[in-house]
Amino acid sequence: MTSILIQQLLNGLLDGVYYLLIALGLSLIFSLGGIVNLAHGAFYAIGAYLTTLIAPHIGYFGALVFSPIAVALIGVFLERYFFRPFYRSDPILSLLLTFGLAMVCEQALRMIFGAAPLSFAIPDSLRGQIFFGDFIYSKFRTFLLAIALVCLTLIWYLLSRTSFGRVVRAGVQNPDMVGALGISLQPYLTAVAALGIGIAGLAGVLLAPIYSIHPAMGQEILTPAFVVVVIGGLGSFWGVIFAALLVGLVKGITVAAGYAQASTAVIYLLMLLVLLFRPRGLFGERIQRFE
Amino acid sequence: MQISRSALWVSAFSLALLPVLMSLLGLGLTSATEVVIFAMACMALNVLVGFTGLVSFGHGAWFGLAAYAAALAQLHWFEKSFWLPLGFGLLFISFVSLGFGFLILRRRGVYFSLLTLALCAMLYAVAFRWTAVTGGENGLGGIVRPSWIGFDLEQKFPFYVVVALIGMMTVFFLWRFHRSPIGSVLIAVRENEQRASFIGYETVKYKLIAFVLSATITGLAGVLLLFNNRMTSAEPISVVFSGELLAMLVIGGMRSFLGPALGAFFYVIFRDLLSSVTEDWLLYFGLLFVFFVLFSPSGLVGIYERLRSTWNKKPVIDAAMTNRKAGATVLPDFLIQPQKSGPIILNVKNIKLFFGGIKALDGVSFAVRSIGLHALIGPNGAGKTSAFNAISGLHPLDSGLVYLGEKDITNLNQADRTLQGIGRSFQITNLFPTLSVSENVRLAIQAKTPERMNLWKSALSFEEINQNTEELLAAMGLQGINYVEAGSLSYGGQRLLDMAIALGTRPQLLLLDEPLAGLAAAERERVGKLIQSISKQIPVLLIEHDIDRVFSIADAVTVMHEGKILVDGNVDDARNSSQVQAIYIGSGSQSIAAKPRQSAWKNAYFYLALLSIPFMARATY
Repeated sequence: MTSILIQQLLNGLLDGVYYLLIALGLSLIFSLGGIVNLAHGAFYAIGAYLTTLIAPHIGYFGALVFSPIAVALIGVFLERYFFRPFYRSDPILSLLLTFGLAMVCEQALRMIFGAAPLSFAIPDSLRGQIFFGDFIYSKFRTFLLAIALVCLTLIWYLLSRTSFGRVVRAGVQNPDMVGALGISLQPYLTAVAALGIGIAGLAGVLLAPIYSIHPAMGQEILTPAFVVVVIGGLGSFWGVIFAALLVGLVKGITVAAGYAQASTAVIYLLMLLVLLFRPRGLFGERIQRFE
Repeated sequence: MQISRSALWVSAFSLALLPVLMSLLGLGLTSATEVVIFAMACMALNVLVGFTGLVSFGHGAWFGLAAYAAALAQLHWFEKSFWLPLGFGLLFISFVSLGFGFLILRRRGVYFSLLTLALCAMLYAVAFRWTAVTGGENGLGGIVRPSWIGFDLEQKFPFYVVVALIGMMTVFFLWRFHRSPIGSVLIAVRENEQRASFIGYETVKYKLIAFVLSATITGLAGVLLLFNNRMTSAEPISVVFSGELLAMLVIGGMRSFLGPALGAFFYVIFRDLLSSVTEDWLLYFGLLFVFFVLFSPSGLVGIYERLRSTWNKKPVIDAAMTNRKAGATVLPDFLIQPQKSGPIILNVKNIKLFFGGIKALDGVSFAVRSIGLHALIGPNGAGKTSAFNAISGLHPLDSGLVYLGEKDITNLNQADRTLQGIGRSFQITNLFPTLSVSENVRLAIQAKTPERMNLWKSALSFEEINQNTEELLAAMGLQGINYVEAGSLSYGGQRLLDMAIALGTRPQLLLLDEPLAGLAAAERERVGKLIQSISKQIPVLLIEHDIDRVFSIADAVTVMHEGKILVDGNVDDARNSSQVQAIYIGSGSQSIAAKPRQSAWKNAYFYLALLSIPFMARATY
C-alpha cells in the first residue's frame, strides 16, 4: 500500500518535472524579453513529433540529442522574425501573436501528421523496472528524472555561475542599463529564446514514449506550465522549480487519494488559492511593465 | 472621440442585408445567424479588450457556461420555453462572472490574461469530466426552439429575425454604454489606471462592471448559439474557441466599435467557404491572424482607415501648442468651496514608510493650515514625494495617521482620498495620453459628480460638467487646444494639464509635486502667481526646488531631510535655520561625495557661513 502511494507521489513529482521543463523556458524568455510565449507548448509538441520521425533512423538516443537542437534552431528563427519586433511594444500584442503562432503550429501538425494520436515505444535498453531495495520503479521514469535533473543543474550553473548568466540576470533587472554599459542584449535574447525553446523540445523527446503524441499536446501542457510560472512568480528561477514540484505533488496526492478525474482541476484551484494570498506568486517580484 | 450615431444605422442595415449577402455567397441562414451571434460575442469581448485594455483569453468560458445553464434549464425546468432558459443563463453568468471577476481583476496586464487563460482551462477540465451534468464529450442535445407570439422559431427565418433583433438591441445598449460616463471611465482606465484612481474613480469597481457586462453579453451569444445548434458541448469553453473569438476581434479591429462584428462576419465566411475545400482551414485562419497582429494590429478597420486617409488627407495643423490662448490667474467659481473644516486641513501624525531597509519616511509629523501655500522642501531623496504618496494613498503606511480636516483618512484608498478632497499632481507627468486635453479635464470633473455611475446618457450631455471643464481650461491657459491629444503637448503643456486635472477633482487640499519644473521663465512666473492665487481659496501643499520662488510665495515651509522633518515653520524659520543651510550646502558639494552620508552634513556645517541659500538654490539648476 505505501509503495503504491509512494509510486503515485513519484509520478506526481515526474509530472512536476515535466511541467518544469516547459515552465522554465517560458519563465526565462519572459523575464528577459518580456514576451509571454503562448506558442511554447507547440515546441514541446514539435520535439515529440520530430522524435517519431527521426528515432527510427538514428535511434532514441540520437533523437535525444538531435531533436532539442533542431527545435532550438526553430527558436532562433522565431526569435529573429517574430519576437524581435515586439520587445519594446505592448506585451498584449506579443501575447496575441504567440497565441496565433500556437494555433498555426497545432493546425500544421494536424495537417502533416493527422489528428489521431501517435504512440512511440520506450527504447529497449530503458524498459523494465529498477529495484531500490524493496521499492520498484520504472527504469524509463528514473531515467527521465535523472536527465531532467542534469538539465536543471546545467541551466542553474549557466545562469548563476557564468558571465553569460550575469548579463542575463542584469538584463532581467534593467535592459536599458545593460545597453548603456556597452553590452548588446540582442545575442543574449536570441540565446535565451533558443535555450528555452530547446528545453521544451527536450521535454517533447523525453515524454514522447510515455504520453500520447497528438496535435493538441502543446496546448494541453501550456496551461499547467503557466499555472506553474504564475504560482512560482514570473521571473523567479527557484520559484518555478518549487512551484512545479508543488503542483506535481498536489496532483499526485489527488490521484493517490482516489480523485483522478479532479487532478487537472485541482492545480488550477491551487493557483487561485496562491494568487489570493500572494498576488505575484510565491517568489514573484513586482515587474512594472507587466502590471 | 465618441462613437457616432451612424454606427447604429450601419448595424441595422447590415442586419437587414446579411441574409441576402450570405445567400449571394452561397451560404445559408444558419450561417447568417452565426455571424450575428459571434458578432455579439466579439463586441462584448471588445468591451474588455479594446475599451478597457484587459485582454481576456478565456471568454469562451462565459459563452459555453451560459449555454450549459440555459440547456439544463430547458431540459429540466422550463420545457418548451425560449425566454426563461435564456434569462436563467444570463442570470447565472452574471453571478458567476461577478465572483470570478472579483478574484481575477485583482491582477492587471499580462497577469490578468494568464488568469483568464487558466480559468478557462479549469472550467473546460470540469465540463469535460463532469459527464453526469454536462454530457461530457457528447454534450447536451435535444434543445427545442418553441414558438413565440406566432413566430415558429424552429423555422430558420423567424429565428434569424429574433436573433437579429436581440443583436440590434445589444448594439444599441453597447453604443449607449460606451458613450456614457462609465464608458468614458473605462477608456481612462485603459489609458492610465493609476491616474484614473487618483482623480477619484475606484477603478476596480468600473472594471468589474465591464467584466460582468462583457461576460453576460458573451453568455447571451452562447445561449443563442445553443438554440441555433439545438445542442451544446464543452467545445466553446476550450481555449481554442476563446482564441478564435480573439482572432475575430483582432482581424476586425479592436479599437473600433463595430470592427469586431466585421471580424465575426469574416470568420464565418472564411470558415464556411474554406472548410468545404480543405480540412485545415483553421491553419489558414491562424496564419491570417498572425499576419494581422504583425502588420495591422488595428485590423480590417485599421486598413480601411489608412486607405481613407491617403485619399482625403487631413488638413495640416500647426504644432500642438500654437493655438493656445494664454491663461488668466483667477480660479473658476465652482472650485471655491465653503470651508467645512477648522483651521487645520491636513494633519500628518508620525507617519513611517519603509521600503525594505530604507526609511523613506521616519516619523514625519506636520500640519497644513486651511488657507495658504505650504511648501515642502528638502534635498533630493529627502522623502518629499514619499510624503505625497503617503498622504494621497499611493503607498500604505507602516505606521502613523493622516487626517484630512477632522477625518481620519489613513485607511482609505487613493480614489476615496480623492473624493474626500485630496487632489494631486505628479512629479513625472501623469495624463491620459491619447485623450484630448478637454477630455482629460472633463474626466477629473466628472469624478465628483453623481453622474459618474450613469451608463445610459452620453457623457458629453451634462451641461454643468462641460461648463466647468471650459472654465477650468480657460483658467489654466489651456483653451484653444481643447481637442489636441494630451500626449502630443509639449512638456510644459503637459505640466499645466496635470495641474488642471488635479484641480478638476475639486480638492480641499491640492498637492503639487514640482509644478514649475520644465516650464519656460515667463510661464514659471505666471504659474507661480496662479498657484499663489489658488492658495488664497484652496490650501496648497507644494514641493518645489526653486527656493527663491518658494520663499517669495510660501506662507509656511516644512523642510525634510532623510525621511525626517528638519524645520516646520514659516519662511524665516527655514531661511535662518543653520541645519537647513547645512543640508542645502551638503547636497551636491564635494564633501558629501567623499564621505558617508551620516557625517556629511556635520562636515558641511563648517562651510555654511561662506555660502548663502539663494546661491545654492541657483546652483541646483
